[in-house]
Amino acid sequence: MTGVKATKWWRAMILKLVIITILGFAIFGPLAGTLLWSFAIKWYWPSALPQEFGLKYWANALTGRSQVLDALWLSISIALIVVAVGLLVSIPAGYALARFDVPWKKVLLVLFLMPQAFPQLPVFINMSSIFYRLNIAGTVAGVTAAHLVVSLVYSVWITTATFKSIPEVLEDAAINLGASRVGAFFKITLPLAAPGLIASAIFVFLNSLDEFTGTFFVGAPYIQTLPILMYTASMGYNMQAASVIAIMLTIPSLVFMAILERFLKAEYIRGLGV
Amino acid sequence: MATLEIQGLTKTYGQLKALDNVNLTVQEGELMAVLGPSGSGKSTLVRSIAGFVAPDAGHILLGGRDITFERPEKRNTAMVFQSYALWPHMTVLQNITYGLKLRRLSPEEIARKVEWALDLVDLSGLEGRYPRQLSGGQQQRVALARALVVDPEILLLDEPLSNLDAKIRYRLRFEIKKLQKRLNITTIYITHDQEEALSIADSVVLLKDGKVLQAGRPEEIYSNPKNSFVAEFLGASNVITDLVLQDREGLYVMLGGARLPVPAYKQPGEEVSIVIRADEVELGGEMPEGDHEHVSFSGKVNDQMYLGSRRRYEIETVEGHSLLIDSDRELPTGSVIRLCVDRDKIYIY
Ligand SMILES: Nc1ncnc2c1ncn2[C@@H]1O[C@H](COP(=O)(O)OP(=O)(O)OP(=O)(O)O)[C@@H](O)[C@H]1O
Ligand SMILES: [Mg+2]
Repeated sequence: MTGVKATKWWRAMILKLVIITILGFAIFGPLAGTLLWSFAIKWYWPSALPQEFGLKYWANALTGRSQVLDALWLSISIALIVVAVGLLVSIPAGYALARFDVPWKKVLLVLFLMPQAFPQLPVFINMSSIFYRLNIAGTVAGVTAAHLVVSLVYSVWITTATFKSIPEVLEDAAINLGASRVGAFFKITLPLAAPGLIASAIFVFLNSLDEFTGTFFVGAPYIQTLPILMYTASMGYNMQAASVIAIMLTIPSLVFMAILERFLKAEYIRGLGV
Repeated sequence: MATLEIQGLTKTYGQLKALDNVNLTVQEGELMAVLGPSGSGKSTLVRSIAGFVAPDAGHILLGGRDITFERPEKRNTAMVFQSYALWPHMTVLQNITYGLKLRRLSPEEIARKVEWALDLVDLSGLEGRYPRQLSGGQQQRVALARALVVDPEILLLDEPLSNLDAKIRYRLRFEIKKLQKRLNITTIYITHDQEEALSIADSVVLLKDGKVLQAGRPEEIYSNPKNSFVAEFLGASNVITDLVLQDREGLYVMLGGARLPVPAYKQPGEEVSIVIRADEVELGGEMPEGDHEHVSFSGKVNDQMYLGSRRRYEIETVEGHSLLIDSDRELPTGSVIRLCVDRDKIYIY
């Protein structure tokens, strides 16, 4: 009996290890390659490792009047604005859609999804021609708007679902004890919605940081965000510079996660179902 | 603490009348149980008292003050919801304190009242817990404490015990009753459990399709149900329908060979309901000669079930009706017996 259990346990264990290893390679394989590239000075095919290591490309990226740092700040600024505006729009919109009989509710939600239904390229090409007419093509405002169009879809949907999942009776209970509707929202609903809102904000932030197509069509050549810069570098076969940027692009995500982990109460994370 | 008066309260949802001209008075310090099947408008009634449902017509007076159009947060009612509606991100203490903070009381007063409330529902020591760390019964008591701590004029309980298992429900029912009497707080208690309603209420209201079918003291409504629906809802397990017959002496219906008079508003050939409670029939009893208080009829034991303290018999009458009768006597299945029941305990509608 115990023998059978033990073999089962071993099988499960081996299966787990295999899966973790595969996942690890899938995630860290490319990352390791990128990391190697960023520290390489010379790396000619077919050598398995670079012939010459050095910090030259990192130094180029991080010191002096560096294009990379400028692009990093621009990317982060745009992402933060997109998150802020996105929350300002999606919290009231999501709450209204979740709680009230908004006329044309279904149509509205589908309309929101529309840009997502078409291939990205034609959507952004159209957008850029509209933005040219509005005189915001090639500006930070234009790129921010492009990012917003993409991310609002997700954030309004996630926010609506989040508010829907919070029973209205919890607000009723607060109002019954003397809270105003607004008071009940801020004291009861908003804290309970926080995990969902934060999840959506993270998503929007990372999405904006990585966004390429829209930025390219609406902002080029004036708006140089990190992904655009990376694209330019890799087009010029400058794999080292591109790798440095790629790693810098992953850093904000990691920092964001770390900050979140510190600031989110354990309950909130549990609320996310993690 | 105040008297609650409801006058002609009506609420329609499209075609549906959730409340249909409801008139009620709950005296100061009285516990009124509102009883009714699912969808009868019980929640709509308390929600309109709390201010979450705007009635189409009628008035609600609390302590003489017309609150029909007052905002819910200004009404000073306190509601305990079926799901308790405790705030999951707040501890027991924070849940109970919230209403007091909204009233801008001093910290000392808040502390005093919270202690009083925790003590009242016997929750001291659990103030630091989150709702999910409590049992169903404890959550229920937190909801009660949260409602009572703000000193409301009326307590509204919407099926407060329906999420609990039978044993706890039984105990908490009496705890609520004791508390209510001690605080002398005007209370509306919604339930669809007739036993619960009868056992704790000062008065009972039976609601169906938004209408008040009957209202009165528990004993009154139990012993004089107005129609077969009320009788059945109050726990009568036998509702027999038959046709009205007529002879020289008037209208009647037959049960187990016995003749039962039918009220004069019926027509011959019309359907009539005979309602008998399972525990109000004596099995095998012989009726003394000339007894006009009782009705005696006969039937055959078709089946039986052992229930511990008593047995439940399925009795078939000669007319082919089947009756469920509870008795502590032991009778063999298949035997033909006499049954005896108080004339007042046979309801004919
Ligand atoms: N917001 C609403 N919109 C439409 N119909 C409603 C609404 N609220 C209640 N109703 C209807 O009104 C009727 C009474 O509902 P109510 O919730 O008061 O019943 P209840 O007696 O509390 O039932 P239960 O015992 O199931 O809780 C039901 O038929 C219900 O479908
Ligand atoms: Mg209800």
